[in-house]
Amino acid sequence: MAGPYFQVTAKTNAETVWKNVVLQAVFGYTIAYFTMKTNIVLFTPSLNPASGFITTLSDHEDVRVTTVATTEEMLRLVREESPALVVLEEGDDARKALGLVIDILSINAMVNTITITAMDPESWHEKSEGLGMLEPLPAPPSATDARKLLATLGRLGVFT
Amino acid sequence: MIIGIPSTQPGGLDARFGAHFGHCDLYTLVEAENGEIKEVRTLPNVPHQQGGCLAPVQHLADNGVDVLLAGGMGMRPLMGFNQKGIDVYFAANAPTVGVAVRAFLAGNLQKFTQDLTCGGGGQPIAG
Repeated sequence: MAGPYFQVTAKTNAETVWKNVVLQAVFGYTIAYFTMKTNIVLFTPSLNPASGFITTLSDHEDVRVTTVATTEEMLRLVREESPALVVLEEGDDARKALGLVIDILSINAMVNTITITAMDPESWHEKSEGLGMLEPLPAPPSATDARKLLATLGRLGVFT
Repeated sequence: MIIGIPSTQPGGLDARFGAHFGHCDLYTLVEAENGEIKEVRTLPNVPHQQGGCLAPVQHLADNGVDVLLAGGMGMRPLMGFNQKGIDVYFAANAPTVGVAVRAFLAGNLQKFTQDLTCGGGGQPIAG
């Protein structure tokens, strides 16, 4: 009687092991996908999602782009996902954009920030001094600007 | 407690205080206990570019620094240090590392707060 009992047990164990292997592979891949990609958050309501800037960022194999529509959503992502970079639009109020940067840094100063602005880089740097922002992007940013930004992130050691 | 001090070459208590914490030659690390200096060693700085001012913050945190004495810094690195549990004290006028450390151990240095940071809408104190 002992023989069949062990056979059944062995079969059950084999099935369980096989199912676990499949599940672990699926979950492992999912977890790896979300943890190994560098998360870039775009809070850029006026940018066309099909623009060369956004598609160039999205097409990078190590980047996951998340687009948000509200300040609350952007700050929630900063709090919960610690993105590598948040891209903001200056819009018509530079102080508001700088205020958002301070809000981001108050949550997590390790998060890099960059602003899309019509201002020349030197004037913007003067305005944003001390906030440790990346060199600003022109309005509207192009695919070339996206490639330069990716190169800068690479130099900062953002991609692992 | 490990105290980090931006320094000029070659570092150590007699070295000149580094004016900019992120671009200093190196750091002097002073281990202190009960208000007394127990050990002094140096730590090389890490290179960084514009927007990468959190690299030295991470570097000092990774090396166990509890307190940083600094002459000036921006809001972002100050927030970064505080979020890493590193207290920053203002020691801009100290001529040497040793003077800064002794002033800190004697309780004579002011804690660095956001209103003392460079730029970011406030008045800069130092580079």
